[in-house]
Amino acid sequence: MFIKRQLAIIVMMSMGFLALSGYFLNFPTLREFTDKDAPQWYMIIAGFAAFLGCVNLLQLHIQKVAKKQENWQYSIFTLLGFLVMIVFGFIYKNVDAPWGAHLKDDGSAFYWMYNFVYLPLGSTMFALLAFFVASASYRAFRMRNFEATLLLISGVLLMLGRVPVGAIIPWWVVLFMYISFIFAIIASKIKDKRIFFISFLSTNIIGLVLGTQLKWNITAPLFLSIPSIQEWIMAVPATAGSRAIMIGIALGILAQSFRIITGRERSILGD
Amino acid sequence: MKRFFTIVGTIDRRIIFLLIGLSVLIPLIKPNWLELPIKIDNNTQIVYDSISGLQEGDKVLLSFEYGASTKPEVHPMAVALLKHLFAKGIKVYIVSLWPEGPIMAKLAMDEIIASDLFNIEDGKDYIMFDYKVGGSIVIKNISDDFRGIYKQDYNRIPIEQLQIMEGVYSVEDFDFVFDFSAGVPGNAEWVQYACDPKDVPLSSGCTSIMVTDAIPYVESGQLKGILAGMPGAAEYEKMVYDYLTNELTNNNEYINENASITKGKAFSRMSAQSVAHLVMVIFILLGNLSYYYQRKRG
Repeated sequence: MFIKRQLAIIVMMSMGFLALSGYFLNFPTLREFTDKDAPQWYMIIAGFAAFLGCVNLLQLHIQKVAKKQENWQYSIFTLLGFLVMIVFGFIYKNVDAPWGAHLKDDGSAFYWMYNFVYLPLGSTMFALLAFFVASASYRAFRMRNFEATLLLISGVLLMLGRVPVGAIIPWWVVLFMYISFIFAIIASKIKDKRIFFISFLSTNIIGLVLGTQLKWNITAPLFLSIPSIQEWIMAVPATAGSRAIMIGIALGILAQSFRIITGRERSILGD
Repeated sequence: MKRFFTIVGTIDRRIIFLLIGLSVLIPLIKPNWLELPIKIDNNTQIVYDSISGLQEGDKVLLSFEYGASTKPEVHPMAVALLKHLFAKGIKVYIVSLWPEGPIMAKLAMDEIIASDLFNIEDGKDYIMFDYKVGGSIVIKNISDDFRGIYKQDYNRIPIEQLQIMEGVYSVEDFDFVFDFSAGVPGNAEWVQYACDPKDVPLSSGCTSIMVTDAIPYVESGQLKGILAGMPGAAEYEKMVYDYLTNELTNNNEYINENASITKGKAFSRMSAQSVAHLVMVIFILLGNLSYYYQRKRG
């Protein structure tokens, strides 16, 4: 019990304080430990953790098949894949290269399996996202309220702005989009449909005439170019949102680290 | 009209899958049917200018952090960047922080060697290192003591015997760092643990989904531009293609005269992505019109 709990907490706290003090105390031995020894230890432990992860995965799927739990049939494929790669990695190499180096040899069975089985399968799995994103955006991107509308508009602009087709969309289409957006906001204020339609149409015509007079068909202003709008969305609102999230995460890490170092956070011990 | 939009609203998802499949497949099979002009994004231009500013003999550290699933998106930019670097006579150092990284790096180098564009030699013009477990801790180690973790290269040759390793002890000995990233560890870790503390210029190429996370570093100047997903790769490929074509006529000593310069894979895939995005936007519009009519009907 002492080894599992008290000792673990003592090690955790002392290592936390040591690692932290390395950044504040100019003591060469301590700096040597925090800058070189501790990271080396971490790398060795992480290596073992990867091995433990493999053993755990194997155990989990063997249990699933043995107990015929839900979707156990898929676990057979996982185990088969595991077994095949273990055989090609540790038992059969098919080339004269030494063990270990054979993993990078073009002629080895392991490399062949990676290149011609795993690689296409991995890319296929990622490519399936396109179908799911298409189906999900069709159903989820709805103008339910103001926030959803903003999300929809920025999503559409990003989708078009990131690909070459966005650059060939003419200025008057973007102008029409702006005018439509403004009229969508004020639509509830104008009760008479005829007035609404006439003012919408006339605003578009005025915009077209004005644009032609200002020669926007030759050089369109940045606010009427979809790639430029996309760049602005990424540089301003998206950056602001990302920074807010990053600051939040950093504060969370700070609080969690403090709890770990002072021995208050015990979830890592399995509590 | 109302009836049409009501039907559209209840469209089977398999029809959407089929249309998306066709919109991707047809431009991939027949890329010449739809050739769209590629506009260079500001962030891609910054990356290109940063690399162009490097001098012959400079040292660039490349970090491969992607795998099989993200290869179609990130790999083309790795190949394009390697071409750009070798054409300028820059020394390339490749490390991998993902288990699949060394294979990705090898595939990229194999492609460069097979193109016969450059007379490059392993251990002299470029060097590759094996995967090291530890993620951000490896970056921290590279930052402080490169030789402490990399004792030998990819071919198991001790680094003391390699000419290219002369004067390389920490990240500060590199003139530029470039990170190909598809997750964690990635460009954020390179900013936090190595390049920002040691003031080494860093740039990155990543998947489209990662751009939002990386863009604050770009805006603050901690990342010198970014190659954002496949469009970023296509833009960079185009710029490198133009550069190589120009350099070939200028008798660049690093480019083989008889070699043929080709545009990369991302460039040819942009038509497919364009059409797919357009189809998605059309679906979103139709979905909203259908939603409007359904709501109106109550």
